[in-house]
Amino acid sequence: MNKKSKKTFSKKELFSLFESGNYQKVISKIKQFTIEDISHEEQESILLDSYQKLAHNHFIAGDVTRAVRDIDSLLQIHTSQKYEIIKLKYLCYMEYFADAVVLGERLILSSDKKIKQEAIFLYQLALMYNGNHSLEGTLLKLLPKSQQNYILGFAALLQEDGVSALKYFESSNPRAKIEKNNLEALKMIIKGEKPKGDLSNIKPLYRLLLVGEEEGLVNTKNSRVVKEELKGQFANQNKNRAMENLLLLQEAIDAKIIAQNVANKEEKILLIYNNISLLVEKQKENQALHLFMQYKEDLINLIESATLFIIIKSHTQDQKSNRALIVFLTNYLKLYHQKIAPFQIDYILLFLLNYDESWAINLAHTYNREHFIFFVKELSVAKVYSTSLQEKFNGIAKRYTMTNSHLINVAAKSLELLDEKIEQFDNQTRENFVEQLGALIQLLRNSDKVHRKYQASFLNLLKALAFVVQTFPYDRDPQLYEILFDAIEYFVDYFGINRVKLPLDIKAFFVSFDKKESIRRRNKHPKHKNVFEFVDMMLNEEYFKAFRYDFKEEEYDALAIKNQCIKNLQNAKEDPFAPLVALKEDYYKSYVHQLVLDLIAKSIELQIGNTDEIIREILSKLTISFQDTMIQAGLIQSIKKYAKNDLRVALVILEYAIGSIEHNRREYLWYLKWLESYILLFNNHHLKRNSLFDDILNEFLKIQKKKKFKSMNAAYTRFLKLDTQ
Amino acid sequence: MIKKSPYEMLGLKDNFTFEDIKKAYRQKIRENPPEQNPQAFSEISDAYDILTNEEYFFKDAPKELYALAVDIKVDESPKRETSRYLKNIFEVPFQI
Repeated sequence: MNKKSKKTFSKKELFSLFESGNYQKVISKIKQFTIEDISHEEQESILLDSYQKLAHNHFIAGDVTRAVRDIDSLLQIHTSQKYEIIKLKYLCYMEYFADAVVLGERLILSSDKKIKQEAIFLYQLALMYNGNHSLEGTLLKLLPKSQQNYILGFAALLQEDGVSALKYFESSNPRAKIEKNNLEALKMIIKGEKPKGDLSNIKPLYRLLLVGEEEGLVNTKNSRVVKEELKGQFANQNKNRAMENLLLLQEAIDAKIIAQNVANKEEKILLIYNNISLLVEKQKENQALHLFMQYKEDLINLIESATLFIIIKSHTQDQKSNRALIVFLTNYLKLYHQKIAPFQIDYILLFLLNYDESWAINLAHTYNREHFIFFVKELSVAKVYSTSLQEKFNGIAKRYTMTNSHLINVAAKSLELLDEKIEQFDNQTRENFVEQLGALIQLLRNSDKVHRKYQASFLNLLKALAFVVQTFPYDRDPQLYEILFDAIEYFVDYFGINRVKLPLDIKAFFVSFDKKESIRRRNKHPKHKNVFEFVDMMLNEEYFKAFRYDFKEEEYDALAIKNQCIKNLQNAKEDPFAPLVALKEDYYKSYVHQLVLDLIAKSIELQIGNTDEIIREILSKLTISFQDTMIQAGLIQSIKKYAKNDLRVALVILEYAIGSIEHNRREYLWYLKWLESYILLFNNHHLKRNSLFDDILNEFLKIQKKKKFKSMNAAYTRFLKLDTQ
Repeated sequence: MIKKSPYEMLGLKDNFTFEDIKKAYRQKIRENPPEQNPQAFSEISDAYDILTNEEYFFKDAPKELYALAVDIKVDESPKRETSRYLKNIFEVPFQI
């Protein structure tokens, strides 16, 4: 009978299967097929390697039974101690310690030193696990010291002598870092310490014992039992640790743990409250809000809950909870209005204003918050100025409260928001609004004994008014401008505000008022050249503000400073030029140098005190000198201007300037031009020559003779004649 | 930072009115005079200020988070018998 021959399989494909890690397929192909062009040695080698690798893979995956089966199959093909030592290891893992001891007894006689040592090591451990705790000293001595100590340590541990075990483990110093980590983990387990460091690379058993993670644990019966027992313990431990953290206010936890483990309702809600606070502290406001909403019916029983809810809502954009917030705060006020301070009621009402203005006003009526009603309701509908309104306002403004201050700021903010709608107003609405603005400004102007602490909020309101009023053309509503100007002037004097520190809107308003024309720009946004400029603009609020008006704030400030200095000088104030210090940072801007010259000129014109001293004082305030390039450039131009009004001013400044230049810096063209200007001033105005003039003339001739500046040649020739006269 | 609730600091429980806050404050101050217990004195004063002085309230309360006292004892986890578990599972200590 013809026996059916085996099908063939290519060697190339077989190697390809091996390369791609399909060891099981390699084994089955060799069993089923005849492999083409393969030698017996080659086939056996690839089969052995496949079994070994397959066994290793099964072992790594925790399936030690299959790993042992693979090694057994391998040993049927080729018996070698190299593979038997692997089987010994697997048997130990499978806790087949009796079999391990039998195999180990044979392998410890191996002539291969490496195999012998490994076998002794495993054999000793297997013996111990098999219940035989007596160690064979002669065998042990054949192992490296480190392994000896390890076995001794384990022997002590299995006899529940943790102290000795730790002592031996301390002396066991494996070279490999991974083993060092394993040993550290083992010591942590014995000491009962909290796990620390990276636990990802340590033995799965140690990881299980330390943190309850079971990944990579070998799948034996005992390991399954241990795993189940430990998992329960770890779940309990994690829960307790979480609860401890919450009680110590260190970390927010899953609210389910609180709900499941705290039976007492009162305690439960206190813990929920603390948990929400911790979430807010960690800036997890959305989670905090979710939890608050879930327990709001219980949380309202805590007097602290309103503030917590308000904090959460201030930090979230959630709209869905708005209605719940209104209901919650309404009920809260019902429950606690007698327990909390009136300003706390105001605080809640202020917050509610953002959500439902009429509801907030209703509640203000319920709890008699008159000031609140005045600012939010009465003031906003007052179209006509009345003495009763004024009396009410004066009464409120006399006594400072933070709520009132906030409410004034709210009024300012609403005015600014209304500004955007003005262009859409019909005539009637516009008229009403102007009347309303007029009534409000008049109220401010006529207010009496306003508490000083209101300075910031009043200024804020005036700023908003200045901004809004400039929306209307001056010629259409000049009265509005006039009363606002009066009101601002009144408060600037009343509070003693430094004009330079006034808000931009007010400074611009002053300019509009002076020009009798609003300088506010109509288009809201500047035209941006490119995307980068646009981004800059978006990030810079000041840029936006500055674009509102057609003027330069810094120049306005400089002018205000100059006027203040002159006023101080006229009133003989001590240190009259002190305000100049505010310009120190703008030293490099040309207008500052011009301002300094103008101020010197004005001081000389006023003929107050010693002019030299005054000039020195002004210059020293800004550490400016006449030698500075910025002054050199503009001096002659300014001198010409001053000479037209008052020749004396021009001469005094020039004399001082010329005299202040150090000798080593006098041979420059700009200096010579100063000298030329001085000589020409004298000559053109037919002034009587004096010794100073002669000195200056001589100096001019001397320098020009030496330096021979082309542009000065004509003057030189002309002045030579003058010198001989 | 989470602070203790000002109401709890002053020992204010369910039945009280706004007027009772002052009484509670005086009582607590008597119990904790500054020379004996400066820390407690300062905390009590802060708590009182938050509840009665609008400047303090507006400055601090809207930003502060408060904790409420909860006195719960957490069960201790049963201690694992390490050697028992190590007896049951074989682990090859050094790599083979």
